[in-house]
Amino acid sequence: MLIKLAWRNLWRQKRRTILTAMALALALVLSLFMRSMQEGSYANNIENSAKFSTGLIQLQHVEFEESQSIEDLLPATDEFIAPAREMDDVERILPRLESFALAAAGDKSKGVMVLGVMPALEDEYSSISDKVVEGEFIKADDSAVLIGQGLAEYLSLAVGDELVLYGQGYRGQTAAGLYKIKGIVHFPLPQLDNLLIYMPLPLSQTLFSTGEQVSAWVIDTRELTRLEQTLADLKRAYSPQKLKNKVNVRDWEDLAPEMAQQIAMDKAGGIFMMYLLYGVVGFGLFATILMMTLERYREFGVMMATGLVRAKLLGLVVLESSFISLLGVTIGLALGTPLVVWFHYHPIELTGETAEMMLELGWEPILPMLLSPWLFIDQILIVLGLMLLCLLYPLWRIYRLDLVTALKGGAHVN
Amino acid sequence: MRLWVMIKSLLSGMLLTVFVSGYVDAETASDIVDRSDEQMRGDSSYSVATMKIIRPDWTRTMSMKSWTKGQELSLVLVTAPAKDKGSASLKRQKEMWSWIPSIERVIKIAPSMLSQSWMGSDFTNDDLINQSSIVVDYEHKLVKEELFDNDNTWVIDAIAKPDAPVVWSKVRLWISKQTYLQRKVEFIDEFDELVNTMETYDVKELGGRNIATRMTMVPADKPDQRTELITHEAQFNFDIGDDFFSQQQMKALRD
Repeated sequence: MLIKLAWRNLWRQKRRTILTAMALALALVLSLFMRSMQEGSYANNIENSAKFSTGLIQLQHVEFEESQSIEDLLPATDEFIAPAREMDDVERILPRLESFALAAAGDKSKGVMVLGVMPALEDEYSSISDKVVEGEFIKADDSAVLIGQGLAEYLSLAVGDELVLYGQGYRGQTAAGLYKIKGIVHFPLPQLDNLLIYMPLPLSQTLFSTGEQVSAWVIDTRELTRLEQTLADLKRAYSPQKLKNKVNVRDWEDLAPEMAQQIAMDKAGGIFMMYLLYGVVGFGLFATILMMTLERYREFGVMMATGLVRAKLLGLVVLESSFISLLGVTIGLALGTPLVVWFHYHPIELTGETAEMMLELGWEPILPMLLSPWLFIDQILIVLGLMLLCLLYPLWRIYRLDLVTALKGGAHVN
Repeated sequence: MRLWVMIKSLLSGMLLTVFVSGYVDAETASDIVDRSDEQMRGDSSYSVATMKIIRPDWTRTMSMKSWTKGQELSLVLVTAPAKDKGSASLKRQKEMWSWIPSIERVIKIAPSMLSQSWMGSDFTNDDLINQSSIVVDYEHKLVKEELFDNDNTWVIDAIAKPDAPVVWSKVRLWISKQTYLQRKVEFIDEFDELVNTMETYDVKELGGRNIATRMTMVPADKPDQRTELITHEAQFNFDIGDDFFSQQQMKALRD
């Protein structure tokens, strides 16, 4: 009965109700769109940058994070990596050996980072073979290497020339080798372009005399949303009690904290804007509910005088506000959901210089939108919270309503 | 009267002789060090040795051959393991080079690199290639006498001459009185801290001389690791040309 009453009360002021609901709906649509776009681009950024540098999760020796030393290695055996392979969220696993060495050619030399990789696996993950500008991509059994373009220019090396790599290997052994350049790779990031040498993993293991070992196992997972769970599973599988090598399981946030912090900052900015938007709309909602309460003071007085329990009156007002909010949310979702779904499947394409830069980096030049249930739930919860906040004052007024004064006047009470 | 003068002169003559001979026979610390170097090295030497690098978790073994001539020329060749075979280090007067066959390059060893570890062991480049500078680049002072491994030794402090291209500011040597071999050496850096300690054992006759066939080097900051150098064969004082100690020869030697 209260429900019928509440609903009918709403439509006594048709335009006001609709306007308030629409304001809510608009706020909801805008927030939903913005958050979806934000979260979509974060997911995209994380996956893309992970591809080229750190991967989503890495398994490393415990000391490797601090020391970056060739001494702190993990076994490269199938037996060691089997627990990770068995997890179904794990899409691919790449073994990598990385260390520093001096590269020399002619009379020039430079400190470089040598990356020993399995070429076919790496290519599948990051399509690095697309970046080869001269020569060819390497194969697992090659004894030739790939060099960054900036580095090749500095050392005046072309495809087919020889490069000297000299440095410290595993357990103090000298790492020294002469290698032919099979191809030149162009990385859009100058730090990589001027520093990297890509080598087949077995060749790098011979150079550094490591035997069957790697500095890191890079793991790519299927779904970003399941990352935390997979991380926990891996930590359990490689816990110190089970193994004599102590393994450090690190996720991309740990490996590249700058990216994680950038994302956190951007997200905070977005959420702040969203609260601002809801704040403005919230005042509209507050105005409506307050008006609905104060203008019916006399009416409430009559209702209470004729026997309506105060609690039920409070309940009535709550119901009325709930209906307005519900109306707003429904309209908002009805408008917003198709919008988000459409852009999820047909993302906005970027053009011009931004697009070119993204393509160079190997990223698709689009603005992706995330489609996820909690985005919607989030918005609904915010509206609910807003509504409860707006109800506080009006409900308090009704609670303190003095019957006699209300019956007498109305507008000028208290 | 004449007899008395004769006896006096005889007595004073004897006394003088005793003093003078005592003075002449007493060796200076520098003499001891020089003689020790001569004993260990001779005019020319050839030795075959094995080096064992011992760490808490692992041990690595290398084999080498070395030639020296006088105090200015030396050549060390690595013969095992296969990865390092053919690597050589050459010293001529004050210059040093390293030959790395796998990259076909000769690397000049600057004095600043002398304190770096030789091929990952606890011996420095200086220890292996630049051995004789202990005689030439240091001032010597006898400190005391001590027993080491049942051997009476002189303890001599060698303090680096200013501007000498050396690694250690002070070296303390325990030189055996009997064999003139260095039994123990402490290496001290410019901050007056003990960095390495070398001890020698198993004095045997090889190639006609008494030499200490086992040398251990222990770093002061990592006492659970050490490197042992064991000499198997040695020959001394044979004829060898100066041109053996050259870069061409260094590159040509394989075994």
